Amino acid sequence: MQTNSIRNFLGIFYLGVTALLGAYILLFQETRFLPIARDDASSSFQIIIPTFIAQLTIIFKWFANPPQSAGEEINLPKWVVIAPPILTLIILLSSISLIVIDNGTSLRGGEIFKNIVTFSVSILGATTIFIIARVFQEPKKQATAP
Amino acid sequence: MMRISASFRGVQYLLLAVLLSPAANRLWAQKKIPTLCSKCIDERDGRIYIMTPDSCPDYASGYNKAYDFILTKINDKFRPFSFTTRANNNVFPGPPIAQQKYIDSFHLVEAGSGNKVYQIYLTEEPGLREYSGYPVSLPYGLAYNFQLHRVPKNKADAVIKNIVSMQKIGLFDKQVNTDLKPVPYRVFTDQRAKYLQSYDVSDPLIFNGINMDMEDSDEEADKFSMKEKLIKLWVQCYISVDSNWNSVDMPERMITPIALQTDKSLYVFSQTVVPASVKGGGSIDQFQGKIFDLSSASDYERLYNRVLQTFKEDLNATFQSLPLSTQPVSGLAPNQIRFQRKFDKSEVLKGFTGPYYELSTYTMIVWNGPDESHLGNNRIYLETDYLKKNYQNNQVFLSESTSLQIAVGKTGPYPEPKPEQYSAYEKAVRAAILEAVKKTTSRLGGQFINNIGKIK
Repeated sequence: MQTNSIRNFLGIFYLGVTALLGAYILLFQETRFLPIARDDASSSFQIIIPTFIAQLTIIFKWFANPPQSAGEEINLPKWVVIAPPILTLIILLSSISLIVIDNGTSLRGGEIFKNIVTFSVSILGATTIFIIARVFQEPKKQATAP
Repeated sequence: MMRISASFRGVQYLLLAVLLSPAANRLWAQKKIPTLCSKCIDERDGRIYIMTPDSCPDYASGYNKAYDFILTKINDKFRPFSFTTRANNNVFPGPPIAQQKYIDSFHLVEAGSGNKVYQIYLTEEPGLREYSGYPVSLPYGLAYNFQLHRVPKNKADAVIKNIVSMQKIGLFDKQVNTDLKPVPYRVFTDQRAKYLQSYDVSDPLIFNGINMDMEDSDEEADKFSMKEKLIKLWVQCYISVDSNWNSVDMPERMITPIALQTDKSLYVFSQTVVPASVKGGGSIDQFQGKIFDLSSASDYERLYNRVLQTFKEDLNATFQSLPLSTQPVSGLAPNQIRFQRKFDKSEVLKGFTGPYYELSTYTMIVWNGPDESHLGNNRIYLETDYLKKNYQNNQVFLSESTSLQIAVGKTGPYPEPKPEQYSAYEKAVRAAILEAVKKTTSRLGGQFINNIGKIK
């Protein structure tokens, strides 16, 4: 997989998930679109935002000032890059759908959402974060002769 | 560096002051202590009688409560031709002990229960109505409240002189409590006398031994901060006596405050009746007031029972219909009505937000009382039936208390509702009660005027 493709995919994923999930929680907490208590929504927001924003900072810092050797190939299997974000996205969307369909009648939506968010952030923290560290790392400065 | 250290010390003092202030503030849960005019204080035969005319600037607006000045009430007992009794054995008991170290060293316990005693508490001056001499039990939702009033400087000496002269009287106003039952391990007496004493409240150990907390209104959150040094608190005390005025027990640990002296002013206490503040349990009073006027009834007893029966039916109907959608709870005390809705979707909060589920209990007490403004008016409550000719308890009052918890989901914890959710319920409860009153009035052929059903 080309390094630039990895960078683009992860950049779009983190930006999309952070912005949309953050806004969704803020806008639709305690409504039929996210029937969880304000406290639970607030806790979930506090779990997501610091972690994801940190990733976004690394990504955008790199894009803002890309090194000259940016086009290098990195030998990584495709699933290593794609699978964790996609699975996380599926888990998040499924749980939100489940909570919305249940509409507070039988599930403890707030607790489920909080746990799912923690779980998703943990998965990404254990997997994709290393890919980000590698593809968005700044090139090591070469020692210059005195 | 020195400046920083000095500021830190300043902050420390400030923190200390803030931490210590609540104890002193409990007594004066008033935003502003009003000052009495000289003309409010009438001196007759060395006795002080206090009234608050409308022309007094501090009472002209905002202070529309009827005050009973405790000093006036005590002096009333010694007016010429006024019936009161006085000991002739010159017994002068001290006030109940306030300092915990003395309570501990004397092993003081509550007579009857045997429990260790702690603080002493404020109690209301018994009203004229109850002949037993023991405090009147107020209806549900009402409580006694003490308030301070500043005495003008030119009258302070006269007030103190009056109180000190009454202190020298010793025991007075012995009354019999017919409700008491003899218990085998206690010297039995059904008589109780009063006497005046004072506390040196400049001693914090004494001040802290007196629990100044009384039921209070919404002003609780915004307490008045007294920046004066407390000196002396005059109180009326109570003690059990036998038929010869000999004390047979220790002084009761309930006292009635009369006056307070500080380094700058003299204050007198008044007592009044206020709606009881919400206390624990997540319950809040959503409706209080008169609902029926039966003063024109030809057969009051029959009409009262009929009104109650019809009203209960109508209340059942309105509370079971939308938006409250509750179920009645049976097996309660007479004149108590209760509805509940448990773990069901809230119809009151139905809208874009939610869905909210509720755990709600509405408890209503209905009672009859005298005419005039019954709520919040101590003098009328205590004295109307005493003063009024052809007196009748021909008004019907209702007090409603709501216990409410709201959850976004049906399962899980049910936290306390937010203020806007409370107000949505308050509107719904008020509408349901008034709708029931209106229906009852209509069914019984009366007129519904100003939210009160006038039925003949």
